[in-house]
Amino acid sequence: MVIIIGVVDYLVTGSSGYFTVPLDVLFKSGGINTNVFPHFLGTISVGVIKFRAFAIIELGILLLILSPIGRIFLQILIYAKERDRTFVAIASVVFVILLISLYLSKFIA
Amino acid sequence: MLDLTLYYILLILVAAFFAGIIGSMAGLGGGVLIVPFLTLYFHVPISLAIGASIISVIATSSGSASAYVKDKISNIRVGTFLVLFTTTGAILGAFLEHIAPTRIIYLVFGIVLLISVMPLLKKFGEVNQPSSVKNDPIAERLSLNSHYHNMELGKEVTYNVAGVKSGSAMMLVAGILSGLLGIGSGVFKVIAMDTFMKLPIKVSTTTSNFMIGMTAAASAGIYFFNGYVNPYIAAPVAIGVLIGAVVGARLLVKTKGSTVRLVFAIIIVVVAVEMLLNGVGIRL
Repeated sequence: MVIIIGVVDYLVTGSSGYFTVPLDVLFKSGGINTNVFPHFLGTISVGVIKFRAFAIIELGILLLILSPIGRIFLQILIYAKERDRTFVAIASVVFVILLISLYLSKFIA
Repeated sequence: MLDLTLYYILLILVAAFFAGIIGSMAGLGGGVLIVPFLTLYFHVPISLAIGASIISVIATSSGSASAYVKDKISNIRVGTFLVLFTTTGAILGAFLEHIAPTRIIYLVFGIVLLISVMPLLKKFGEVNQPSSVKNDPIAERLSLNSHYHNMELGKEVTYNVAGVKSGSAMMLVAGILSGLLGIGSGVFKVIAMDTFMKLPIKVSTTTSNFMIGMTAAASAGIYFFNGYVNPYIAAPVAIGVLIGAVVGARLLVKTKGSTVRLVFAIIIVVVAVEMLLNGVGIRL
């Protein structure tokens, strides 16, 4: 949903809110550094407040990435309700592994 | 210039839609279809294509999983248990990155995949799990065996879960591959559940769909924070795949098990060829 809002913003304003190169130019240049878009929490949140299209899209994509982590958390709650201790433990370990991997990913360049 | 960009975005959207349909039915993320499309047709740099592929995997998982959980086809207990191994593997894979040249990894697994088509095709006509399949002791203790509504037979089908150990080992390998190569490795998950754990094919693909999102999420952060997830590509991929996955999930419920098996077998061959080509240095 958030991604769609960002796309609509992009179409309406006709601007990504950032210095971006059109796709065909990007493909021909074969590089990624010609395109500037926010991909850190700080820059994204600033961009969202200013209603910049690409910041909103990236926020939506970040939420999409986080959704499996949300799903396993939901699964913990479901197993807890069923009083299934083994599976609460299994799902919790998975949840922690995912959090660790997200934390570690900031350091791997 | 904006018009051309718009045209490209629409093309990516349509391609992503079909990748979502096929991905959600075959239990994989559609990355195997998205990556060659982006790199061959659009000459997108491989790093951006893999970034888009990771998004595609998560979108397939999110789009289809909710439908499958509702229809009670996917086995969430099996999925939760096995995800333990794939996510652990994914982290290991990220650290193992320099242990072996990726080319050799691609060659080995390309060959492994080609070999694994055989047992899959042998079971081609099989609608149900043979009654000879016994529950694994671990499956017994974790009560992994379950049942699902089979549309073809119009009745509930109960099934056992075999080979939990070999299946889990395969999941660990699948996870390591995800971390190493930046793929969702849904293909390997389905093979593990279908061939080693003897689950019905639809249960295998839908449970794989539940799992791939979590496995991909374990390595998605790396691509995201390094700026490989370009909004121009990722937005149409995410939206197209999400819609495609929802449609695919609806289709799968009504599709014959043997058709699912056929789609999956074709995908395996495609992936195997892709991997072998990568192995000899031809990047699709």
